[in-house]
Amino acid sequence: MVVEQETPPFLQWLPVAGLHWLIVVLSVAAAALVIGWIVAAVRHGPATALRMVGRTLWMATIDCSRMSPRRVAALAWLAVKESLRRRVVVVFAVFILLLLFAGWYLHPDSPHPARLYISFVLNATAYLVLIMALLLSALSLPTDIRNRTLHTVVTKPVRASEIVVGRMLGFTLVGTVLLAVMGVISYAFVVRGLAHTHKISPDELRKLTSAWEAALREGDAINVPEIETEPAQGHRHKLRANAVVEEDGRRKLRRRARARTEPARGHWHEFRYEFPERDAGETRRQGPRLDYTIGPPEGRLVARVPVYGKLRFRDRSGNPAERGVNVGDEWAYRSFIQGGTLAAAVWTFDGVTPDRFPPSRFPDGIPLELNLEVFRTYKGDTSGRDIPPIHASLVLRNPETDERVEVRIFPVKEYATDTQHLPYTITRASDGRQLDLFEDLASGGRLEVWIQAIEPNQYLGMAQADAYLLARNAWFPWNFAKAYLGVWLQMVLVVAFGVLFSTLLSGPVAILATVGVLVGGIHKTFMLRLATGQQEGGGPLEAFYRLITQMNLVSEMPEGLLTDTIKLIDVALLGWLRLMAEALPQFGSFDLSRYAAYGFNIPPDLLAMRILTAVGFVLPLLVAGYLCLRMREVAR
Amino acid sequence: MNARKKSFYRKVIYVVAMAALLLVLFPLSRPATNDARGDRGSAGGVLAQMRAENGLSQAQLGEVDPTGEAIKLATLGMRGIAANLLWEKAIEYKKKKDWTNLAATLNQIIKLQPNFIEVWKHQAWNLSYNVSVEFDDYRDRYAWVMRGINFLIDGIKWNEREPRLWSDIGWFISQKIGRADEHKQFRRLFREDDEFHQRNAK
Repeated sequence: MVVEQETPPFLQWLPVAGLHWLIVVLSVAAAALVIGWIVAAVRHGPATALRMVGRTLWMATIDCSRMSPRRVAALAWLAVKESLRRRVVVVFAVFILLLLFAGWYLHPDSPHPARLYISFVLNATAYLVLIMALLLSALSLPTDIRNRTLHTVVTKPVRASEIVVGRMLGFTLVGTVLLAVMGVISYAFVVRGLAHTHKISPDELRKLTSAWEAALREGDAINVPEIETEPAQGHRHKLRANAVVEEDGRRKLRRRARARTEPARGHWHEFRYEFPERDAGETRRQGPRLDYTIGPPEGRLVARVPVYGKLRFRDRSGNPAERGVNVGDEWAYRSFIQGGTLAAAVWTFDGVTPDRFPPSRFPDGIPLELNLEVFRTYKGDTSGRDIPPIHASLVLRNPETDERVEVRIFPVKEYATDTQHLPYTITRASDGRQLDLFEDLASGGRLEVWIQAIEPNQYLGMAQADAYLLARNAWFPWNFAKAYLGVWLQMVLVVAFGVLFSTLLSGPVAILATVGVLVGGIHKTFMLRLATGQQEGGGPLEAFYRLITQMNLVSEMPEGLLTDTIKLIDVALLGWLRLMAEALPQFGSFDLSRYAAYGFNIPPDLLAMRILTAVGFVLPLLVAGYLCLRMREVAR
Repeated sequence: MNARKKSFYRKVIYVVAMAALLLVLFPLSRPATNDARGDRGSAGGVLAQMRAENGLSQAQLGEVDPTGEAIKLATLGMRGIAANLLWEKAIEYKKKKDWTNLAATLNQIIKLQPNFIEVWKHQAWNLSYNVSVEFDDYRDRYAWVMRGINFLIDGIKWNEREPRLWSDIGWFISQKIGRADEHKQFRRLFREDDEFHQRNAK
């Protein structure tokens, strides 16, 4: 998975984010108080205005601190009933319809179908639930005010704060139940959609049974040939039913065994087979037979827990370098090292200890997963049956003692996860010394992994997240649920904004305002880039000028008074845009679907950050919603 | 005049206006019909006749794709905007080498623009030439070359009378399978590609 921005640890993020939050909230609150005082001062004079502001603050403190959970629960239940009256289940029906026809758009024979399926269900759910949350929350209060049903509520002994909190809780509850049901159905849809098995054609089976027959005839086992399954979902698997065992120096054929097919499209199947007990005569009369089963796909729906290292580079002369070479890619995520030189990519991993990677759990060695990219400057030898792959060397180094050993040279696999196991004991070829992984190479838990390209003038590309130690596989359904939690947080934010706007605007305008927040939040990064001048094309006026004059985005504006005026007005407009963008939640950051889709565990730190960010938005929105509702005559 | 009467007269005016508009619309947009034997019954209105003369009806262009039609309807008239967004996404996926999502996005684009020939030509070229060379293993390269060729073959289903797509299929196969640097391997894989040949045997 591409990780363009590293996620900082939660405790490192908390003080910085907390301070930022405090500054923004206090500034907005101060600005609101000053504006409130100015408006009141114009109408009633400065001293009275001050008293009014003080009284409002005092009332707000009392209203918020003396909220009754019972009344809030009753109002929340009212919101739930109202949602049901508004036929909220229609959203669920649309979701089912989408799933029913999803087969038209999703192709299980794509290279990574799990990514498509998981992204589809999460995105479809997110869009539907967000639209539902938007309509419910933004239309609720205005409709109540218009129909005067709110009057019956406010005549009861309820506080304005309880009305706002009750609405938010009620709509959130409805959304949560819908989301939970959709989540369960989506999970079943993904599992069912990806489920398949393969058959083995009679011709391929004959290869196996002939080997078995020969073994019976000759009384000794022979190597079983590699066979291929029939295609399903656009791919086949190779498999070697290696049933040969060595016992007492004799090679024997196992009657029944299980094997794993070669991986294809990111998964494999378990292959169980059994040669029925028959004597040679029976086999001659009836022909050879083989009973087999091929299990469901495995290794597709996973939640890898990676241990990332820090990446640094060595250039072709072996000197430290910040990055590798750019081979002309527009996207500079990966940089490349030249083959046949001293250029290397070096990852430093911490926490490589026997407790974390016990041999009992990783019998083949510590799994190092790689996603390297190849860039060839020449095609290589194309005259043979196959074209030789590009090779890389894998070297381990102890950063403290400089002890190093080459583990192996391996062919590089592109756009697929290649697992290289780091053995616990390695014999160094140069002096024949046996090195222990934990004692000699990772003493203190720190280990360096060096990757170099072997073939001269061929390049290998990598980024920091392209190599990681696989600590374990987390439980996929839980990871899927965590991705849904991201959708849930987005829904809570939309409900909070919708209820806030509905307290002071009419229904359609509240919808528009909430849609504005949603769209702005999704494009927050773009807005900030625009506001800070990182985006070509300038501000709104400059963009308009370029549009009507059909001027390229990167061309210089003509010098003169017009350009100066445009740029001056744009500075003010972009400053306003920046203020708006800073105050919006970044909806994209709550989208955790790509972790689940690419088979990576959603880190608990990331989840905690997102939950806290959502809380950081919802709390001020609650207070703002309460104040706005108090301003309305109906709530007084 | 009281409010009820006013409302009644307004409705009558609406109905009359609708009837007048329908009268104008009838000769314009009357559909062509077949008689009981399936022979051409009526040539239809002006628009239907012009469509038939110029070969512009969906059925004349090629197969009618229910998925594409459903998606076009679902965009509520904003097909251009949706196609533009999808093109941007496709460019981004290509830049970031996310081939799975690129292929999926191209499939969505062609559902929206099934009769826009340049889409088929451009994106097939993208798959067979630009994407395939990004892969190091020649078997992967071959798979993406064939993905582009299959994309063109799909295009012909919706655009049966379009010689440019046939021409491109011939060009891709001759250039990529016949003359590429790895033609020796590609020709072998092409020969062994039973699925492709069975699919296109008819």
